[in-house]
Amino acid sequence: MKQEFAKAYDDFADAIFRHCYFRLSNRERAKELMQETFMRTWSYIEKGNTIEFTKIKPFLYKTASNLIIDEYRKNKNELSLDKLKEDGFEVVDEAKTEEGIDTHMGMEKIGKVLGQLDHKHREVIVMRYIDKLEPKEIAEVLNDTPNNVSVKINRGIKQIRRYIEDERN
Amino acid sequence: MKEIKDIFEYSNKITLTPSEKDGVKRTLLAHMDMNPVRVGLGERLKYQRSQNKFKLMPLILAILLTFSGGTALAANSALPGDLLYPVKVGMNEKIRGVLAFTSEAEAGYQGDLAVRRIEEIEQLIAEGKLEVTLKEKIEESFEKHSEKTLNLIEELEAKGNFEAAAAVGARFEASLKAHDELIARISDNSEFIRARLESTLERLNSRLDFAAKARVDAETRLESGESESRDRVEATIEAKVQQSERAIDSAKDDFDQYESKLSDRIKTEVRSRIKSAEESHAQGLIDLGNKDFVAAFIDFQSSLSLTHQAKVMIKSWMSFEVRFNKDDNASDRDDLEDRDDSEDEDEDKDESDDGDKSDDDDEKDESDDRDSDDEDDESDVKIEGDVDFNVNGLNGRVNSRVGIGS
Repeated sequence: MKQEFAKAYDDFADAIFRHCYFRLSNRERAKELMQETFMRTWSYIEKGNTIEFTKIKPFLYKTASNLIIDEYRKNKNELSLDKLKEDGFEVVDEAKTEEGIDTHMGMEKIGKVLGQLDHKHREVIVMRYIDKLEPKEIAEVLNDTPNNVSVKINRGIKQIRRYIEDERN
Repeated sequence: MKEIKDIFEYSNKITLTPSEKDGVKRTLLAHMDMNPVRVGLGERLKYQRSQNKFKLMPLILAILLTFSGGTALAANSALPGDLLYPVKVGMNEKIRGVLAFTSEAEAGYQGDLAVRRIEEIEQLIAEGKLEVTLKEKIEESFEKHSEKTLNLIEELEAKGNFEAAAAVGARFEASLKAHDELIARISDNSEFIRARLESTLERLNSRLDFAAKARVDAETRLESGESESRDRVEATIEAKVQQSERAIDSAKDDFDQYESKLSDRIKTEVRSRIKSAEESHAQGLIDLGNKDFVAAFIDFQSSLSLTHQAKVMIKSWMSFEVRFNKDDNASDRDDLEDRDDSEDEDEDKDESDDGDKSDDDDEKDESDDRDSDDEDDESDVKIEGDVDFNVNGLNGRVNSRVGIGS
């Protein structure tokens, strides 16, 4: 079991980290939450609960998502949407690597776009376009119906389009 | 859609550095070594897969266990997804259902079942087990029982039994109100829970409106004009006084007992309800002095409704809270279940002396998902026992010999 879980870590650590990162705009915190996600998931298994192999991915996202929501709640002031809108995204070391400037610009764009969204829409947009989950998988993570998820995604897209158009003008 | 995808093109550049990834992994492995798993996942997976083939197993098991006693009672606290849940909804409810002779008792019973569904949702979310499909199923069952309750109240009114319609309506309304308040409080603390209970709250509110309307309607008709109901109200008003008094005492007892464990908001809510109940009760006594029996009846009814809300809030909060914190201390949960039992005993005073029978059902923990479709599956199930019921003051006991199936 331990090996299987270690494999799950190898497979999903980056994905969960990325998810946390784009939800929180904070690299260090994202790393901590990723670790916490795996710790909690292990605690769940360790208590004798079962997660089917195919379900481990949604379970991890679900756990991460819950932690992020806690995080939002704890840091209501520090992490306000207004602040995110002003700062855009925390651009990190990646900008200095070989792909340099392109990545940097790309990240900045993502940051600005995500900064336009409220938590609820940001959640689904990150899952859909960054984590590349299907609406059905997202529904599973959020305990929602695929239909509702699609509606939320579409609303998120509309907000993004509106923002892009405003920027162009 | 391509433009949207393009925006996020570079997101996959965000990864952990190898050293970061290894660092966390080491921490994680150390954590796993310190907290080894109790059962191998492989075995559990196998077990889970094979379980699907034996959907009937819990039922069969339950029937077997029933003869050794205790199971039916244990099943009362089962949640959807639990092994004993089919026993709870498939058997216990039926026994109770059979015993609800009058429309009033039946309406009260159906109302309790609807409320029980809401409690299950609260408890499941507290345990983190509220899956969407499960939630939808429970909500459906809630709607079904609510519908039945409201129809039966209507029926009572149609028969001119306004005081019963008012009493059942008030109780149903009070339970829903208490849960409405509770869910709102829980959601205050967690956006996560709020999002997940949105649909439940919506349904609950819509039923709450109907229940309130039915109750007000019944009261209005009781107030206006002569009817047999008025005579009955006059004849039974003394019992109503006592019932209201007892309910206030009992709510106060509960509050004293659990005060230290309630959140501040819940405390305030409960306190204000008990206070209002006392005021309504006092007003009822004044009306009684003026020989205005209907007004007094409505006052006592309102007092009863408020104390009922207070009690439901305390009980459900405790149940939610303990399940919510179960991770930290499993023994807490047992404590609570003990406490729950004792609380029920307070409520239905004459329940305590039939502990020798296995099937005394306390009304709160009853449930039902399937009304009639499982009749064919069961045969030769005979249950004997004393069953108490307490529906809006209609206390009673039925000594029963119930046979189900062929």
